[in-house]
Amino acid sequence: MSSKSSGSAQLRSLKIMGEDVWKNRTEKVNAELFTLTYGSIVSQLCIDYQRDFQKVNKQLFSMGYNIGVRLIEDFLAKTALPRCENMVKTSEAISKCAFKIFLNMTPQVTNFSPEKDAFSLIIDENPLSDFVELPMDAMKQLWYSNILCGVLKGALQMVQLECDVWFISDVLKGDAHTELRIKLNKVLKDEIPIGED
Amino acid sequence: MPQYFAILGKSDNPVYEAEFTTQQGQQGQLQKGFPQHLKELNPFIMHASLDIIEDLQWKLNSNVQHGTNNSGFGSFLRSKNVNVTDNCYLGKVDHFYGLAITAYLTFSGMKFVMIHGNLDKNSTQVDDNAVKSFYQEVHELYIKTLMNPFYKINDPITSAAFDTRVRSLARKYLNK
Amino acid sequence: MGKLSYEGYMNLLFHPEYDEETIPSDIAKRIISNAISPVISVTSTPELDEHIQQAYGIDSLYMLLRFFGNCVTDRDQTNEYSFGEAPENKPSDGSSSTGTSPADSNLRSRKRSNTLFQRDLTQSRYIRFTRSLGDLVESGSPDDMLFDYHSLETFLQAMLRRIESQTTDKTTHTLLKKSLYHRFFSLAISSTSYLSPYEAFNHPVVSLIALDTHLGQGYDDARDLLSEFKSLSSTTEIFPVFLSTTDILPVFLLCYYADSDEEYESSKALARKLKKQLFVESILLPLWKESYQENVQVPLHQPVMTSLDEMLFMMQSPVCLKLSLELINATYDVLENLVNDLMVPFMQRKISFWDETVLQTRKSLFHGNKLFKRFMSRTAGGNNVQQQSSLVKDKEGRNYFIFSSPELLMRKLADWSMMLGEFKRAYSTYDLISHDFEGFPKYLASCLEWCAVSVLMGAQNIVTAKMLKSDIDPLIQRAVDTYEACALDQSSTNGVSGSLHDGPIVRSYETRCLFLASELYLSLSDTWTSTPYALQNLETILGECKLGPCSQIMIWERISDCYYLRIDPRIRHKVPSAAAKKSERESNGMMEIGTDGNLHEDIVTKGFTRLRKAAFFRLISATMWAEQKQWRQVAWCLKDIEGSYEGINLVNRKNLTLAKLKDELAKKENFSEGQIHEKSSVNVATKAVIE
Repeated sequence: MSSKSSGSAQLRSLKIMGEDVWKNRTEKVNAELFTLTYGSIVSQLCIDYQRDFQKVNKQLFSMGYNIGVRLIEDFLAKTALPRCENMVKTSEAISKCAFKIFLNMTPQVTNFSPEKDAFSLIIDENPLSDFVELPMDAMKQLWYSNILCGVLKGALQMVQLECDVWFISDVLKGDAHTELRIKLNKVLKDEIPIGED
Repeated sequence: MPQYFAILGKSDNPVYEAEFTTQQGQQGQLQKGFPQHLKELNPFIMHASLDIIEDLQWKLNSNVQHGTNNSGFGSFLRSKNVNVTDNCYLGKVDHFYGLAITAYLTFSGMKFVMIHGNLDKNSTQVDDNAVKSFYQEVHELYIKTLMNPFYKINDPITSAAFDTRVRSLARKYLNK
Repeated sequence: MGKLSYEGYMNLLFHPEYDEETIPSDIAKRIISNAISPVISVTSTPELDEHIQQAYGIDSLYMLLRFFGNCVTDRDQTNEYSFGEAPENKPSDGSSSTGTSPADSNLRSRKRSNTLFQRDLTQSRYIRFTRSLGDLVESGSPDDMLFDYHSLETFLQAMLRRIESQTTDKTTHTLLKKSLYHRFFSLAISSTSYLSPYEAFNHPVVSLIALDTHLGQGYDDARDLLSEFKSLSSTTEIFPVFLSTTDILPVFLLCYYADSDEEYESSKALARKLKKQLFVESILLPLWKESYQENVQVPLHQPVMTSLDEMLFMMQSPVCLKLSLELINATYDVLENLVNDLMVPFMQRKISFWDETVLQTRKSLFHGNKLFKRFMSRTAGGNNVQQQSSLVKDKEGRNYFIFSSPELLMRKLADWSMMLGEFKRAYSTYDLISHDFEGFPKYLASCLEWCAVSVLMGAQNIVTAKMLKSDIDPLIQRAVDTYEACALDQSSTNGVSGSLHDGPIVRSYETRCLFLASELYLSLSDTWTSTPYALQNLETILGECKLGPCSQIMIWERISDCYYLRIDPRIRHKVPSAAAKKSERESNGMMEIGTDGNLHEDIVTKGFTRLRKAAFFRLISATMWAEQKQWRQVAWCLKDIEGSYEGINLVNRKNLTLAKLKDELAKKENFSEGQIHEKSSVNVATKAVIE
């Protein structure tokens, strides 16, 4: 893939690639099964932690992290994406490829910080939270899809991007959008995995 | 004309209940809910009709005639050639002194039951098509509720959103 | 207590013990047999009545004999004795044995089968007593209602008061309530004093003419009394045209002093003379005897079938009458003779006579040729003219069929066949004459009614669902419609002329018809198919018939009973256990749903019962009892439905009827308990004083 082509062309190609991989090389699973599986994990966690939602958030995050650090391998193998030069590109890769391939959706990338080291993903239709209605006590604290943050955190870390990932708002809590924030802290230079450029 | 609607579980436990009255209509001030004694009695009337609903539920041949649709009412889950949820609607199953009782069965055996009240003395006429549509849409809402991981099956549905949607469906189909 | 007798069941309230026994489902048939049993009118001389009054404190011979109604072979009145004493003391030696063989065999059969079960319906002969024919004719008019719903209500309230005073909320009440309902039912369908122009059930079959030979009344008195009886129709101005003394069998009852052999012999001689010269049979009753004084005195209970008025009178002034066991047994012996040797043969003779002279000629007229029949009915003119001739206006200007008209004779033939338990003959006759009555709705309605009743009583061995649907129910509906049309017609034509009573009269028949049909439906074995018809009839009663508030609640409760009975035969054996399981399951309600094994067993019974319906109607009844302040009934109803509503939170909320009723009841109980405490302390005090 040409990393030197113009921005828009690259964007398109990212998009096309994402769709291609989604169509041809992704094993699909029934959406409801997926949603219910995730839902039952979350509700079970709520029970296990006796509705201490901070702990639930943390647990979801760490589960996601564990997924993320593995999933990145699969993702790169499927897409063979080259290294991204900056966070803008990273954001596009996340939105157009990663989300497309694994969740068949393309969150909107917005709200770049002036330094271009932080951005937001607006998730329009979150397949994780289909059908979900938070119980009253969970409304304030629980980030239902917090696993996503963990996944992103884990995956980005594996490509030397030390980020903070967190939810800013969630439609489940009555907000207008579901917004996920990613902020780059530093690029880990020392730990370049073997085999990567 | 007021209605009393409930979703009942397998051990006759109420999962959801609502009384619909016509609101804010031009004649709104005339149309009220059930009179007090019926309010106190409605759950019992409903409970009593469950016998008949169960009878229809487990009936093998559909020789019971009611409702408008003739395609296999009264033989829930037994006839194969009927469109998905057409079979669920049992039509008018019971009556009690001018009140009509209609019912709808979900595939998992939840019972949607409604008492149709009346304001004049004549026995209540039930518009089967409208009632059926109402039930079918409530059924969809109910399925969505079931899919909510936080909803424990057979628990009362406390969701305000569910309630609002059911009530708006009631306005749409029942209290035109 | 051992087995319950028919009388014991019907009079359960008057017996101190309340067993929970099952009663046979065909109890209704028994009650109906009793309600239409042959009527014996009792005529006696003033001297005899006075003698009885002196000896036993009973006003007249009729008042004495009426205690011996019902099934004679049951000897109900002796039950009172055996209730108190050891059963083996029960003397059946028949002290003044008139010992003919049929009486003996009856004695034996009685011993075998005094219980509610084990008795063949058609074998028991019931009788009813009534006042003398002259009295009946004078006191009643064809306008009388079959029953007056006001009296029925008063009676019911009296019964309820009695129950309330004798029981507590914890009394096992199931049987008692059934008994109460059947008592209520029996009163709604029968009345001994009323002479209907349209049916012959209450027309006396035997006229008992009594003489006191001890006071020297003899042949001359007998002759005079007989001729007085025979000429009643000409001497009594209002003697109804539909009645004739020729169809009533006169029998002399000679009451003698049993300790004097001489008197016994002379009475026998008198009987022979009466037979030879007046062609009238006599029976001898040893009404007086020294040993009666020393013999065990048995309190008498009210007969099961008695007119509402009498019942009310008795309840208002309860007098406990006692007679000696010996006399009671002697009377039963004499009555058995009367029934078996005189009355039944007489009825059979009459039936076969009418059969030959009227029925057969009618049948042969048509030869079963339908074409001809249709032709006849189309050109109904000829037929009608003939019928017009048998119509007679009475003093009030009403049109009735005269007693000698073929129509009425056939009707009588059918009614008597019913009385004798020959339901097949009754059915075919009713069926035949119902065509003759097409133009006479009042006659027709009654005919249709009894046509259906005769089928349900046993004209057909098996009543199938198809027969119910296509034959019996339409008959009943047609009868009801016809009655209704009569009522409307009457009230519209007579409304102005002030005869406002006619509507209710016909209505009371309509009510009876619905009552009869509903109870008979319930007596069928396949209750799953028959209860809907019973329910329909009961609901019609509630909707159309005039009844007092308590009477109505009785019907509501009966509706509930119907639903309890509505069990699919396939699962009948499971249901009691299912009910028990239900409460069991609810107590285990804490456990996870879905892993509950009981649910799977229950699934078999789903939809095959109407227990929830039944509970609902019990609840309705309870609320209505509460309105009538019948708190005992409220308590019992609530007890009945406890199991059904237990643990179902849909119906157990504070703001719902059930909880409110319970509260109200609890309040009442606390209140009355306080009262009772006060009272009982007073009682203790008075007891102490007495002792």
